Amino acid sequence: MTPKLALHGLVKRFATKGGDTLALDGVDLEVEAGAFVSLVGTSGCGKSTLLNIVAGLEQPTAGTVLVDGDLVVGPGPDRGVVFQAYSLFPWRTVAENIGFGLECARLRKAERRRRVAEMLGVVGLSEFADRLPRELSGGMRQRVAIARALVGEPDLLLLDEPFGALDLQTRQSLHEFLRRVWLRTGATVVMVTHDVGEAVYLSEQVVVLTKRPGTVSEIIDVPFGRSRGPEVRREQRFLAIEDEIDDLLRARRAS
Amino acid sequence: MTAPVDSVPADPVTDVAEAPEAPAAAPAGPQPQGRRGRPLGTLGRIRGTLPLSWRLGLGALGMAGVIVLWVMAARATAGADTGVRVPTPAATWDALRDLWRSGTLSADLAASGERMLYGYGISVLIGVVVGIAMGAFPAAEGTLEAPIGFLRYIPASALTPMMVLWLGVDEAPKITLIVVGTVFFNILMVADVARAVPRELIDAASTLGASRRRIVARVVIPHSLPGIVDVTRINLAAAWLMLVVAELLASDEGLAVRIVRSGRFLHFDTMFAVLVVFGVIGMVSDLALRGLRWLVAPWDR
Repeated sequence: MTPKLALHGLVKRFATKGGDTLALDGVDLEVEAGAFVSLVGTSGCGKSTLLNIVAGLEQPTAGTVLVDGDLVVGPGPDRGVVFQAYSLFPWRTVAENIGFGLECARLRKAERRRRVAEMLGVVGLSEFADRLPRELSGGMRQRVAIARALVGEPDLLLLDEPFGALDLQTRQSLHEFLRRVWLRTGATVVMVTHDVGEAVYLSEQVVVLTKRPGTVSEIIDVPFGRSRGPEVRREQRFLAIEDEIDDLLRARRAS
Repeated sequence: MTAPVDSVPADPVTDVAEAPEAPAAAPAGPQPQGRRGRPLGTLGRIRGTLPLSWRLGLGALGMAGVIVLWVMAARATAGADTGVRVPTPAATWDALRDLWRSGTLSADLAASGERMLYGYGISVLIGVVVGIAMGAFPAAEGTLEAPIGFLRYIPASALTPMMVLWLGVDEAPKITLIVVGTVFFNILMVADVARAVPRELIDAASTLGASRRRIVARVVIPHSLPGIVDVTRINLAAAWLMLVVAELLASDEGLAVRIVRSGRFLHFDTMFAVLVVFGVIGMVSDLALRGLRWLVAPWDR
């Protein structure tokens, strides 16, 4: 079976002042349909660059990105992206933000309204449909951003440190929210984060990247089932996996 | 020791409006042993907003100051027999009334207003279209930045003789002068506004399936709208200056014509009356454009 997402020999080189910088050096990765995979790495390991290449926002220097066997040549609605923050259109209401992709797909107004209303229900923001983003809290804004990325039913949901700017309580409640959405929609999720606990708690697989130039150092399978709850965070096995990843990251940093 | 800001008499209205920053005179609980910190002050504070009553009061004070200076200048020159006397506010008011009653003022207003409307309207239209293109497309920016950077330093008034030869002495050269004198500033400032659209918003739109045309229409333009109104407001002053230059070439009617003519015949009261009209129109259009910005961008108030 073709994997949902396949990266082959991805290389990314940036021209910088002191000569070329190698950000990614031959990344190979396959993600199965319906999986939740996290990419972790120290800052500057090129993990956001990697996600941008999958999104089609950046071109790789070498290598290919295949989604369902198709070559990615640019951004498209088949890959929904949630950015770290500040990516909502500030002049559009919550409902209009969520409906943006459906407008691009030229859906009829009635159909757009129906799907936006449904998605508002999924993310629990029905009462805020007519508010502007600036009237919402940071956590609510990220829920809108996730809804906006999901409403077009993309094959892949790409999350670039989506909770990095939020406080701990909000982050934890959004973890539960994201897990519910993932299980309900059956989407394939690829998330970039530097929060190891978050990665282990949410994912089925954690991909550890080496420091610049980034390559895949290790792929850790997370043995908890899909119906896990926040209590697994206190289990010995959970802590052991966290430690293992922390050690990998630290070792890479030292070398 | 009293800091200078404390010497401003305490205003009860201010203390209510700025309650969190004005500590109560007698705090509850144990008696403090001393005071710490430098008070932010009310009138002397840096940045922040003043209560409305203060803002209006200070505004009135500023205008009163101008009138006092004017009256003083009129008094000081009253005895001069060179004929160069600053007209008093009363004389200016009388001249203004005469201008109005004779119909001269409304004819001047109509003539100047029409030139401004066409001239500045065309300038804003070109400025928005070319500016958005430059801000959105690096290729347009690369092509146009150097020539526009060069052209905007050319004094438009220098072209007057050529324009008269090409376009005659009617409205066409006047409107053209207003366009040429302001359009390059409009273009470059709108381009800056369009360049300020956050990368994330454009990335978000393209990952949601928006075409390039849709990104310009639905992301770049809406985000730039309040900035465009600001640019329009700022460059309007330059357009008024160009109007004066334009009306100097063969006009019978117009505010600048009236100023120049009354000045030439030493009718300084009439001249001052028209100058006052100029100032009032400027202030009103400034306020109107601020209001427009408030209306078009509720998300950026």
